[in-house]
Amino acid sequence: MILNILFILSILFSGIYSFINFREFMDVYEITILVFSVPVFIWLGYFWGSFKKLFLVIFFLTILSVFIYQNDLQMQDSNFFLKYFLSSQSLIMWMTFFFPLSLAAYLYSSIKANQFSANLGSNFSWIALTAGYTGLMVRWYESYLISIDVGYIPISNLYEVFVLFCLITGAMYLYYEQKSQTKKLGAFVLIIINAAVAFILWYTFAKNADAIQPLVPALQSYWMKIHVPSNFIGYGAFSISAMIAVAYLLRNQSAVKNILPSEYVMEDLMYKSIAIGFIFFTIATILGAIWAAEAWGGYWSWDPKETWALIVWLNYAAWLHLRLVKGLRGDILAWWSVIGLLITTFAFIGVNLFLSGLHSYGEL
Amino acid sequence: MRFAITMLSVVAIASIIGTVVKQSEPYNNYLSQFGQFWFPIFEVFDVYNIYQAFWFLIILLFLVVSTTLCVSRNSPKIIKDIRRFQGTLSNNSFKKFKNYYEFSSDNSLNSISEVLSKEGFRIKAGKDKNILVAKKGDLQKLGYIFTHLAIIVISIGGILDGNLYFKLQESFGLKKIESRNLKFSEVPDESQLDINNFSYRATLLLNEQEKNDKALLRVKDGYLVQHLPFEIKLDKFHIEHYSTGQPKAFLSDIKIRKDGEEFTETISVNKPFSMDGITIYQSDFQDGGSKLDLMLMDLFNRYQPMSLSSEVYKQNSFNTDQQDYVFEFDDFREFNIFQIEKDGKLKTQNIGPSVLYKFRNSSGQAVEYQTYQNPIPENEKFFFMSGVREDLQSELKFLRIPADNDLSLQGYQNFLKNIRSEELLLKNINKLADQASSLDSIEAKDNFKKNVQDIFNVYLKSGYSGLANMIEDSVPLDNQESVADSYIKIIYFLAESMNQELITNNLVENDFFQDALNAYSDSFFYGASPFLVLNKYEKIYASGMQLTKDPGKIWVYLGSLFLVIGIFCMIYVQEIRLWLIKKSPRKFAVAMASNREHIDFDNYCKQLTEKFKVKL
Repeated sequence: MILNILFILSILFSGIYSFINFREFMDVYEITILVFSVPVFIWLGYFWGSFKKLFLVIFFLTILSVFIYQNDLQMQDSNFFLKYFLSSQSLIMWMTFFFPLSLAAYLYSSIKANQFSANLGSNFSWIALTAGYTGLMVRWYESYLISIDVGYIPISNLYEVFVLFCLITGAMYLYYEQKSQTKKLGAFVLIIINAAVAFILWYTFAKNADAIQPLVPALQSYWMKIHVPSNFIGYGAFSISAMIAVAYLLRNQSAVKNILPSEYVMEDLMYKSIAIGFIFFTIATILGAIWAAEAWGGYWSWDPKETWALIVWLNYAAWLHLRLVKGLRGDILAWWSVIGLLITTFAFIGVNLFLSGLHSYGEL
Repeated sequence: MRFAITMLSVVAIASIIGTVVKQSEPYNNYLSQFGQFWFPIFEVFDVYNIYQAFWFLIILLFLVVSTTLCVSRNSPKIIKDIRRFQGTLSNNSFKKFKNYYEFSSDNSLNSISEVLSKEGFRIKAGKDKNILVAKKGDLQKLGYIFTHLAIIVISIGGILDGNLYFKLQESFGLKKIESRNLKFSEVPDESQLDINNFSYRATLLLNEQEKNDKALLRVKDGYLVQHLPFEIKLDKFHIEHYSTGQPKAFLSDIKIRKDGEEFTETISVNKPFSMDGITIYQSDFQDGGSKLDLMLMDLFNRYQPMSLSSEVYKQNSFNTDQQDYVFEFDDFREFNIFQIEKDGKLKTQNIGPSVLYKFRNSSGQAVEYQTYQNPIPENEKFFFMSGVREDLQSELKFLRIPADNDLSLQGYQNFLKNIRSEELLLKNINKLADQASSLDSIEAKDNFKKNVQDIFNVYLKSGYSGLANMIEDSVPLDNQESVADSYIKIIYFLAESMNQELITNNLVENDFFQDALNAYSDSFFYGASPFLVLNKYEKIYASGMQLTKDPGKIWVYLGSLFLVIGIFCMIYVQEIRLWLIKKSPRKFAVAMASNREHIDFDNYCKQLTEKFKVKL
């Protein structure tokens, strides 16, 4: 009860405070997004109880960080807490620290059938999520400290969306973990998250990609705030599905047989994550088209990213069609889902790496 | 169906090819990329404009037609299905269902049907009063109609925006693509499209203060001229910057004139302007012929600096080394954003204007240069920089001329004059010889002076690399390093003492000479161009705008809405058929079926059965 009240109050506070103080910096669309995000977050909390706790912790940590910062970016070098815990860079580093730990714990629990270790894996993932989301929140604030006109929502370059990918995939996995009451898939799903973590680390240390750079004009739009997150819910869901598919395909191997949940559960989760991913991916692509019409002068330009989005979409449309309409089940769909991840990965980063086009933000 | 899937796969593969082969490039690029043999073969299949290819559009059209047939064939069935209830079941077939439950309850059949109504079921009471048939989730079936309708509507929107106006006229031989490089006014009528064209994406490049009422429509390897219902004039193009220097906004102030009325608008990226169904977008910019006021400085001080006035895209002839050259000014960039190290941290900073030009000799060979106007900080010193490259693929190599204490080139110019003065050289060699105490005889002294003069002259004629060659030719391997060392010291000593006036005039510091000597030596790799000093400039921009007329857009959006609704219905609406039978006063049996059975459905059936049991 107290949790519910705190949760709703903190959301209302965030919404109203932002509206009163930052209204003049927002256009009508951004205000609309703000207004709608209030009920959406409340609904999320209603839909998934653990989200309330996650939200509250992030809320208080962010406020704490903002409070310590005192509107001075230099504080992140001089203040002990900011330097090691509450600046965005260190929060994201903490995320990259806890996700591998979580994978290790899940792996250990799978091998030794150890429930304690499984719980540990789960908790580590929760900590990583908290650190990561708070990191993005604080980064959002920090970008405004560089200069008021520089500030932007930190889902705008390759570094930031990789963090977002880890977080969304992690959150969706933890939701399914609670829903299906099995921690046995953690060892699989955390692999893909940690692949992204490895990329973030490489990108940070080899390329200094964690620096906050102002947005190029094409990205300065409220569309960013809805197009990118919905895309990454899609990517995250497709990755989860593919990792479960791997587990599914291994279900008859004697070595891992006993550490997997039932075939039925895996099959079901595979379908559910593709279904939710497909809806969000569809919406993201449509939003992208509307944005493109506004920024580039055409809702569809056969730009490589657009074209690959279409291919990803067709791929999963076919997958769902086969399952829902033709009633197909089993190994074929699992393999398909794994291949789907390869296609998705190419659409996500391959296009940026190998093909040029309008979407060439964040080259390596 | 199978054929449709094959066609869909062809579309997917063709789309992938289109992302790998860069689309709509000049055809010469493809020729050099694929070679004489493959180029025409790919051309036949329209690989260079695959998404506009005839066969690609035909396949799309086929998919639309087959989807339409599919929908029109299945929709009546689906609607009938929604209206109709499932038949009753015999007692035995009940038990075959996976979700079959027997339960006892005090509730009447009526109150159970109330529970069902609350759950959203539609109920049909049978003739037999003890049997109840119910169903819910018919929307799921509508999802099928919605998604397929969506694809049709989106495709129609897309086709509407697909340059049909021209394609139809082209197929009757009325219009033709122009591929020659002509002024708009010279383009023949058969390549001009009137304002009735109902959809296009044309481009318009205007210099500041220029105006036009026609735009360019790129098609394949050529173009068409699209007439506009109004005239656009570019007043000014400007770039706004972040405090860190990166561009924040690209804006064009335009004047639109229609039927004698004129009004002003500002467009920028993400903020287009619409009028008469045409939307005007800021798409790119380039130089529009900036005016440049330059000074040319010979790097070997063979002639006095001279001034030159030019413009971007203009050529100026020039004579040096008894050869004729041409300056071709390609671009002038007012802002150059660099990452500069400051206090151990990388900072982005605007380092000011640069000029890009080619210096072409009479046989047509060109060297490309990029010269920055202002000195650029490096390790707490400042350098005038100019990059040079002989072919466009290689990286620029930079000549770095140290700035003097006033951050001007004057110090280096004086330095050049001094080191190339023979009188000064002889005077300072004498000074050097006098200081060398080991030279006891006059002969030894003269010998020393001659050697030193030779060394310095080799440096003057060919820089450090000339000295290196000399050492390699005349000094045994073991001694080369120490000899090179002493040569460098000699040159440094001479250069410094020849330029004492610069120090006494406080024009440069002592650490200037090392950099100046390096710069002089590097000048031998700079090519024939004089060093270019930009005195004054007037930046003139050209703004690239895109003009889009897309009546199909609204249909595409409508179709997209259908698509989302349809997918949502198909995935998240659970279709359920339910049969309930009252076997005896307190005994019931229920069977539930769905076309999509999974864990959630099973759980739902269990929960529902529990609800029946609860006493109402």
